[in-house]
Amino acid sequence: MGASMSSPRDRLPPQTRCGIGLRAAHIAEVIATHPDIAWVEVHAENYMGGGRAVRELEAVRNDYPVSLHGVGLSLGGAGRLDARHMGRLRDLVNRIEPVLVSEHLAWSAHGGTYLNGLLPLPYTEEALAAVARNIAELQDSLGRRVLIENPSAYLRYADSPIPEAEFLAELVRCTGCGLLCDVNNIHVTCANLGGDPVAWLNALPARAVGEIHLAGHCANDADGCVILIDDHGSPVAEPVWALYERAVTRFPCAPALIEWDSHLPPLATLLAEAALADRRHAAAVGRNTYAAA
Amino acid sequence: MPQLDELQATVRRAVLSGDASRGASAIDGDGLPPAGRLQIYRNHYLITLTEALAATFPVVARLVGERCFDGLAREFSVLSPPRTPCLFEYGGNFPIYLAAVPTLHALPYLPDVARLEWAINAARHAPDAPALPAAALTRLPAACLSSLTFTLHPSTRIVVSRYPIDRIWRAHQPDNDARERIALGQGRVRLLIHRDAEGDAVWRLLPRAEFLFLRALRAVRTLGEAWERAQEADAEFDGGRTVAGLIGAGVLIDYDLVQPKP
Repeated sequence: MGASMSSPRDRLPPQTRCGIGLRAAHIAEVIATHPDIAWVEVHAENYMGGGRAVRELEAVRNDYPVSLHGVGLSLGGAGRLDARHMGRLRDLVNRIEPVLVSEHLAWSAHGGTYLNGLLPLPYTEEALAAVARNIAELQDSLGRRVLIENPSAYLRYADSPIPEAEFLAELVRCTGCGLLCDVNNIHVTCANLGGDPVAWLNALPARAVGEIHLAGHCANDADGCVILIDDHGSPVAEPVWALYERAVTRFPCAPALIEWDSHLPPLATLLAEAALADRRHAAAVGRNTYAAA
Repeated sequence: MPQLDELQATVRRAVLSGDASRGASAIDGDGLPPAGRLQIYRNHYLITLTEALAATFPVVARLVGERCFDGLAREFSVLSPPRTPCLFEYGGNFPIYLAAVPTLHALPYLPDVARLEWAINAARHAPDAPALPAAALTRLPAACLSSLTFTLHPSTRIVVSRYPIDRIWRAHQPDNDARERIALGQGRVRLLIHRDAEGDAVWRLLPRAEFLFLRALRAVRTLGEAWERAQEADAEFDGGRTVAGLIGAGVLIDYDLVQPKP
């Protein structure tokens, strides 16, 4: 089903089914076979050059709502944002007209060096001011609201007094940004650092949540300690589905998305996982969908 | 210095060097010790950049084998971290690094193969630019033609090697099972790399005269000067036909008319 006739380019319709993270290995198949996908999300950084990649993304955009998910802006960096990178993101947003734009509560660059990862922040007043300043600058530059995703974490700083969900709620209050609630990341972070995922979820301001992420993780034994790694390399785990069912009762209108990056399976597997998310959503929310909205 | 900046400088050092001694005190020590927690981020850095380099330099990876490549990529990613968040821009210095690794001197062609792979990668992702219409020059008075200069498409690269890197590259494509023996002393090769109309990066061998011609055009020499330069290598060289071919291939995308010197 092509969505181009039914949905405006700048927003997803209410009750949108679960979408998928679209990776380069599947793009040609999607363009050729035009499968029934509610919407797709791509990593913005992969489309900041020219040539075939961005041309294919435009072809996808003609048939599906597209969300741009940034992974490299380093909103949590102590220094100023990389103006060149933000300009490239703005150009891509203007070219693709995505339904959603999102980035992470994390830092990845320092002193001009990119660490190619989403590094955790200390949740302090100083960090809050820095991230709020950067989100405001990003939203001003793009002229639109951006969703901020909670990261998965493997460490906590000794001086980090503000609980993560409260930190996010404060960013919403200061900047008017939205939130991307990654339930797998909540599960991974709470398992690795200690914490109650349900309490974490309940501390989020429900009206700010504009998207939900679902993904798989793996368990690693590190010197006798089990650490969950957010590798996006397997089906969604049962505890994450359970958390998702709680999340959708709080944010019933936020569209969900399946992310899969390592050990990428066939496209059909991703679509089956998205359909499973829709069934889980329906079972959890039932007939209360409209009432709860 | 603000605390956040200092903390991020410390974590950056730990990720790049593996030395967690300075960052440990800033990290909650419950369960897995801080050094082990920082190591997870370091592993992610090394693994994802190794994957990115393997995707950009697949022939180099096949030539040295996966284990050797992983070790090289890890060392390189620590010595030369990314300067932008776009991974397709990462690895421009990898050929220089390979040339400096003593254990690779038995494969003298390896840095040049890497330069070819980097040129292909750069061509694949270079910015878009509109092509010149095939008939663009036909409206111009014939007397002007020798005074034209040209703009090359941003994807255009020229790679020169004293080794047959074209044959080495072809022999190590995934769909090529044929085993062939390639003599290294075949003379210099000159390759033109650019993006075709479908948006794919392509390359072909350049005869010496066309190489001199293109190199002159790239240096914003006039068509007349480039033509003369090419005819030093090949008296039969036809600059008009060559320009038409380069416009057709999307290599030349704009022109300018230089006023003749008084």
